[in-house]
Amino acid sequence: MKNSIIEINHLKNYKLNESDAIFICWASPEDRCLGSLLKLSSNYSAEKIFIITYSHKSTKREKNISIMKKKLDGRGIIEKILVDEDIPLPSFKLLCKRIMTLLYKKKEPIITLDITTAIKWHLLIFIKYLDSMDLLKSTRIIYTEPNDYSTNIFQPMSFGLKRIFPIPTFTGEYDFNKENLLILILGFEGNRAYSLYENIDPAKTILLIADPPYHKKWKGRAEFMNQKIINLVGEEKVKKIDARNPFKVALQLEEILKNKDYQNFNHFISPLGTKLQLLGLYIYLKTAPITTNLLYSVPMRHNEFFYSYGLGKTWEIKL
Amino acid sequence: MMNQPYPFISYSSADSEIADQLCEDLKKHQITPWIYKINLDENKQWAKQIDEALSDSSIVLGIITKNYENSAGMIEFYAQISSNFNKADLGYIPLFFTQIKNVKSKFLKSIEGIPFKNYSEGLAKLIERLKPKEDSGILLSKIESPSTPNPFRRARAEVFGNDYLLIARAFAMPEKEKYDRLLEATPTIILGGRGSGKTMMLKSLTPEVQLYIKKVKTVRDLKKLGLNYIGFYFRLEIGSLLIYDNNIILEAGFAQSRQEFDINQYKTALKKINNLNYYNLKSIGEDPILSMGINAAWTISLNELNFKILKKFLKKLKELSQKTNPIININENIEKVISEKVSQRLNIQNVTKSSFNELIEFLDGELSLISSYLQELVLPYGAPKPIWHKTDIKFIDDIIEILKQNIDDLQNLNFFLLFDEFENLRPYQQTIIIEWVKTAKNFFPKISSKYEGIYTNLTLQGQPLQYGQDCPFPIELDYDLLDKRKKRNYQNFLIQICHNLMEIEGWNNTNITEMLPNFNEVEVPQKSIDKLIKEIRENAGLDYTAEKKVDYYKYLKNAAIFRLLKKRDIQKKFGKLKIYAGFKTFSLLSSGIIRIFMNLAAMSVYRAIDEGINVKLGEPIPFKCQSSAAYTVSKGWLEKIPENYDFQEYGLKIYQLIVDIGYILRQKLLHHPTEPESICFTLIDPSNLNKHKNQKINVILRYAVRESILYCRRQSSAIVPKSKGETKPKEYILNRIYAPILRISHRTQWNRNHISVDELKNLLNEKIRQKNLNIIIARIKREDTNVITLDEWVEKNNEE
Repeated sequence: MKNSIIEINHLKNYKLNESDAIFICWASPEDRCLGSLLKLSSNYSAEKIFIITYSHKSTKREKNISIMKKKLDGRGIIEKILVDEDIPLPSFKLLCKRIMTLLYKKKEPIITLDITTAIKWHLLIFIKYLDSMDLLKSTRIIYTEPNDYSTNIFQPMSFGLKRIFPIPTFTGEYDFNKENLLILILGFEGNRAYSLYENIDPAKTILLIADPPYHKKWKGRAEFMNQKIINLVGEEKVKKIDARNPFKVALQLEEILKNKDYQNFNHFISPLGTKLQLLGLYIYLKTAPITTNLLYSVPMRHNEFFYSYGLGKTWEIKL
Repeated sequence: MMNQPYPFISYSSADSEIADQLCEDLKKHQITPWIYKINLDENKQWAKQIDEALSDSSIVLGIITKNYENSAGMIEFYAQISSNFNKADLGYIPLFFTQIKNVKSKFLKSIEGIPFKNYSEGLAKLIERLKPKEDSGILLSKIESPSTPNPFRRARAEVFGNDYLLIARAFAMPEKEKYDRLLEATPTIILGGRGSGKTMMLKSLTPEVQLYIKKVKTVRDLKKLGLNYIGFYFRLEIGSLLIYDNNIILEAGFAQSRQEFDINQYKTALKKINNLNYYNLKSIGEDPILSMGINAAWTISLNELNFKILKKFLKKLKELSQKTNPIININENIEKVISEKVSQRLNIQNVTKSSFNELIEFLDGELSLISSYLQELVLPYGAPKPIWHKTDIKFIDDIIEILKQNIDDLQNLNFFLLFDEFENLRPYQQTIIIEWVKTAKNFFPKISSKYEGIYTNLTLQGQPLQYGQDCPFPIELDYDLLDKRKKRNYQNFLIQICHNLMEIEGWNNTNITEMLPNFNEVEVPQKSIDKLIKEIRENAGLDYTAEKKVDYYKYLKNAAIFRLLKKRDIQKKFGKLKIYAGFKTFSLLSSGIIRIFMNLAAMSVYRAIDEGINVKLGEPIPFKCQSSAAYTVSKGWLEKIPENYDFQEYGLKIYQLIVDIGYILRQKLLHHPTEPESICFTLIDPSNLNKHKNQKINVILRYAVRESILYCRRQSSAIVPKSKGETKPKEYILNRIYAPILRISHRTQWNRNHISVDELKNLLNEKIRQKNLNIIIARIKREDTNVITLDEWVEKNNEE
């Protein structure tokens, strides 16, 4: 079913008695990368399984890959795809070509894509690639929320800023006649948002905060973590968007940004929020009336005390 | 005043691993500028050192283990701490790495400690406890908030957006000599750090702002008043040009060279191009993929820039020639003629455009074609088609000629193309504008960039830009506050800016010097200073005569104050912190960066309003509020360092380096008998920076200079080697805003702090950092005062 998001307790084959054509997931040091695998139904299978992993070494990730392989053993032919974290484009391009070859002459194939621990800007590019090959309609996306983060005090989720860049393939047509509008989809990385603002120096800014958040007990956490940027920009510039429904997020973005006050600006959007919001952003961009630049900032390092733990709800999304 | 945790760790030598780990983890959270570690067993003079450390600290962290309780000095140590609890603003937090019930000491048990059975949880709790009540970053954001009535909130040009009236009202002319140079009919390069006023200067050259400044209605009126230019502003934001990502260059390179795609070759080439800079732009010629890719990217960027600049001209002229209140006269006929001629230049005679709107629509279409081409280039099954109309490097020159020939109001006006944030362009994109600097006939590029933000001085063909010939030497906006005249100019500039901002907000008294009165007293008793100066001289075995008291005072007064503020009895009465107040002090602390001064002024206003002072009605701000503001802003700016993306992965390293240099200078301030005050250091062997093994420290220093964290002093004042054949040393001055939080003097005074490239490099190596730090401090504390200075060396060698 197109344009749907449903909660699932078990990950089954999309079609009854038929294997998925391809299962793709990301390996990560976070336990969440095992999320969908722990919820696999006993008879789930895919003809081909790709585990995307990164070249930066991590013992925790390697450990999780072993578990993933065990969980996926016998459910399809497994292949590890090594991606350079800083240079994902060529690897994704090759992977997509492989996918296309595998799906050649298949009728209505299904790709299951677990995006739980994908790097956000990589995910956008990957989805765009699938879309460009007209495969997004054959893809169901799986996402597992964290249960919580490993610390309950309000500490930054990341430190410093390594670089800022427009996400490749998401650059808009910048107009020198217009001032810049920065739209920040905020998460828990207050300093990252603040640094972006400081470095872009926009004429106007809109701050988007998830409300309601994933969990009731997280209420107010994003506001607290982003106090600096909220002060700088002004509370009246804070708008609410959905935390998990990408279709709602897309509509809300459209609603907020079609305001004529924002029409005469170059739009720069930076996604620092949830991955489901990111999917909403992708949907919005496909219909965006104004060409938009997506900006990404890479933190110097993540706060190791802030890693998520446990598994929350799992969602199945069809774009 | 400040609530600045300043912890040091006390531990037993058997627990040094825990102490090191804790130290590292706290540093990661930027809890404190530096952390003292006192090893209770090994340090023979521990009592003295503890006392010294305590006088600087506000919190002691005790790593409580069995070893700690059994260590020889522990009882005496916490006896000392407990005796200090009531005397000074001091806290002690026991960190229980052992079961609390097993701790013998009743004293330790009686204090609210933190269990560290689970290290992560303990650390999280400790960080929460150490977090200052006031977050300086949050405060900085509050004072720049649009909702505050604080006039100094407007510290960035961008907050004015397109409100030209407000820009005109806020704009203050910098020193005439600099501004006049900008107005000359030559290409110009402006260099300055963040917040140095580059954007305001460029925006002041646009006709909309000039109309408000000169209070006239049309460009013709401006011409009558003698204005001979028209400026068009271009903000070269990241993402303002379609190619930023280097993957596109590689894709284009493979496409053009028709080589088969090879992922390893791709990655190697990408790494090479990611490191492309001023020094190796030429070297890409040997790599066919790269050279073809860069040529393609250069051509695409040139076309894009041409179309976007033309679009800007057309839109702006359309806007300025609106029927109601036209600023420039362009009637339909003229518009038609221009549109036809531009169409010809674009080689679109078959579909000639007859209005600006039609042309703009055409340009949008062309830009879309470029955009689609670039998208297709990177898609898995993309089919890139380069089907837009091609333009060349002379295109803009020709367009301007058409405009000047056909619009009366523009005749005899110099076209200034105001390129802001040049540093955001890729090196090959910069070469386009550099080529215009060298060859444009009908316009003058005015380029503003951060220091070290011009990555190449070459055109794509490898022709170098020659200052003095192609364009004058760059205008530097950061003021050299060591030069008295420049310092005065800077202060006058600040006075004018502040007056404008206060006037906009309707404040009664708009004189910043009256708002920020000087602190004319001495923060500690005069008698104590005199006594200490005498002691310093005598303890160093130097003469002390009554006739020379004035000289001694001149050289040692500030150091004596810093030293006295470490003494417990003085702290009790006068506090621990040096006072920073007064317009002149703040102008110095701001190091020539307007935004820093605005932050200091805004924070002072914020503190004063908190104290119930009506600053708006003209009540002066008490020195206590000013000083408190100085510490907050100082800390806030120091903590900004790791968050600045311009440093890339080096932010934390630069932060650490600045903190370490601060620590070295503080030790000198507290111990050197004759030349204690300093905020500079001298790199004795700068030529070693060019060695491959020193690449990292070289980049770090360059970035620090580019972002005005360090200032590289001109050669007139560095210290020189013994023989003429060696390279000249390089002198660096810390941005003075860090002085309060690093507790060092903000005055330059003496610069004999010799550090080698190796030593600086070793400060970045965590394993040997502490040892290296101790070596440097030991040397600098007793540094020979007979070293020849560059000024003296120059004189000796008759060199200018």
